[in-house]
Amino acid sequence: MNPTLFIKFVSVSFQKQVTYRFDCFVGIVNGFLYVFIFTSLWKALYSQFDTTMHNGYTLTAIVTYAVMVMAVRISFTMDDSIIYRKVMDGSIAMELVRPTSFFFMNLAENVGNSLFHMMARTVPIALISVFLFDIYIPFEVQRFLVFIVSFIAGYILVSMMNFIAGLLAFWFIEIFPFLLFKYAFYTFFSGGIVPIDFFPEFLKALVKLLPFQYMLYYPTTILIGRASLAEAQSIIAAQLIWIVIMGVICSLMWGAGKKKLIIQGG
Amino acid sequence: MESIKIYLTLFTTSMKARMEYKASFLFYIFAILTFYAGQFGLLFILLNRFHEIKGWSVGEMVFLYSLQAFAFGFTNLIFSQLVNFDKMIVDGEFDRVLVRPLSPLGQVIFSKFEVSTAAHLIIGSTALYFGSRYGNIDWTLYKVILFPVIITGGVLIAGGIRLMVTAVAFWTLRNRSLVHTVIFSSKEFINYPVNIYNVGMQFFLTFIFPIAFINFYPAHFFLDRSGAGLLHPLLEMGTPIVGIIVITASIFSWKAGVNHYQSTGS
Repeated sequence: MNPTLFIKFVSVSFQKQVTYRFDCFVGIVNGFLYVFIFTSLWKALYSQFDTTMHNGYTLTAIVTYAVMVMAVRISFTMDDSIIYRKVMDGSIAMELVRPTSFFFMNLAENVGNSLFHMMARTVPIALISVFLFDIYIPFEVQRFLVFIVSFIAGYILVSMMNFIAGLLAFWFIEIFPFLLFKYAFYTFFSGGIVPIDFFPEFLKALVKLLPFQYMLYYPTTILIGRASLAEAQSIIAAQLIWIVIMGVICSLMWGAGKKKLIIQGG
Repeated sequence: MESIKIYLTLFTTSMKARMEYKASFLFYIFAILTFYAGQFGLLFILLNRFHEIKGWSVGEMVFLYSLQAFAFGFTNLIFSQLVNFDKMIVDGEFDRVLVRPLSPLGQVIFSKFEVSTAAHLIIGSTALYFGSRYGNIDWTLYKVILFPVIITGGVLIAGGIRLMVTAVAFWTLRNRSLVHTVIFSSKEFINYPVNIYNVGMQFFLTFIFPIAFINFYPAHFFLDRSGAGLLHPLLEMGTPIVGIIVITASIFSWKAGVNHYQSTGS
């Protein structure tokens, strides 16, 4: 797909979001609510012990993790039922005749959506949090650049996960239960709430086999300085491998889905 | 009396409609159970590491969760249609409700049966069993009698809040994000004992947005715990009274909304 067209789609999807200003304000409150709950939880847990370090995290480190992982997660906000709705109302047929790649169209739509959430929600929530909580992030230009790369790789993985979940609409009339599964796995295994370092050994072994940790946990550890720059390189390499694996799954499913496609009266 | 019969017919019809697809019904329940299993899983990981949360042991936390699961389970059963109420207004479907010789609120409430209730009741009962066992609850006759009273109070609080935020749609039309924040995200607050939050938030959750009465305060009574945080012994028994206050206020706001209502004309 050519880049100008991609950017065009991104900006259309971005502008669609701008129309809902009230939703945006509520979205800030909603995101901050989670930040508040989890920072309070960690503070309460840490206050029970004299030891200041748990599983490699000081209180400042864990509060920073809680805030930043939520910031990353909110920046990754996308509408995971776009494909489902297109199948339901039959407009998916239009996508099939377009000369552009459906995957990249979908990615562009997600990016527009997420960029909006990043500017309208992540930025204010991060700013408020910096004032309210004890947060420490190392300021190194190189680290920040590496983080951006890992962040984008994580974003592509989340987008692929949603693409796969959305394609299930080609086979099933109701995909809400699948989205719920996806949400549960994503929240749990990506370190979205509790960092993987706190998981018991048997779960850590399981997490290693799954792509979820590369979506939120690893990009966040790079940002907050838990992963060294050398480690960051192997993290990004692993992310790229997962992008290839999930990319193959996406294209196989898309190929099979096109043949299977049943449109409800559309 | 005649109207009660009509409500019941509405209710059973919608229930039958949902049960039509048995496989999808069971799958949906399973998905919801997985979602909550993930939440419990994270809680167990934390408790495994930190043993307790501000003086609440695993068993007591599980009991806290059971009160919440029961209250929200029944709230979903009764007040589920309210989640998508703004759509009824925007699509003009509410006009149809108004021309019928039945209470608009009754019609809206009985027009949908939410299957997630079954999942909540499974979770609530399981949590109640393990919570009683590991939280060492001494089930006296008095407690057994008061248990359903407390749950009912919790339903009135959660349902009343739902009705109030739904009524906002009469003024703003679309209020989906607000509804989701107030109904679903705010639930996260009481996944943990309320005394982990700062005093300001405890005050808010007790007197302004009183969801602490759904599980935190009454749990003290069942677990024979003495007070912590903002707790006054009187608050332990406050749930039914607060429930009545909230539901009364919410019915007034709904009625004000209906009076204010002007069709969108669609």
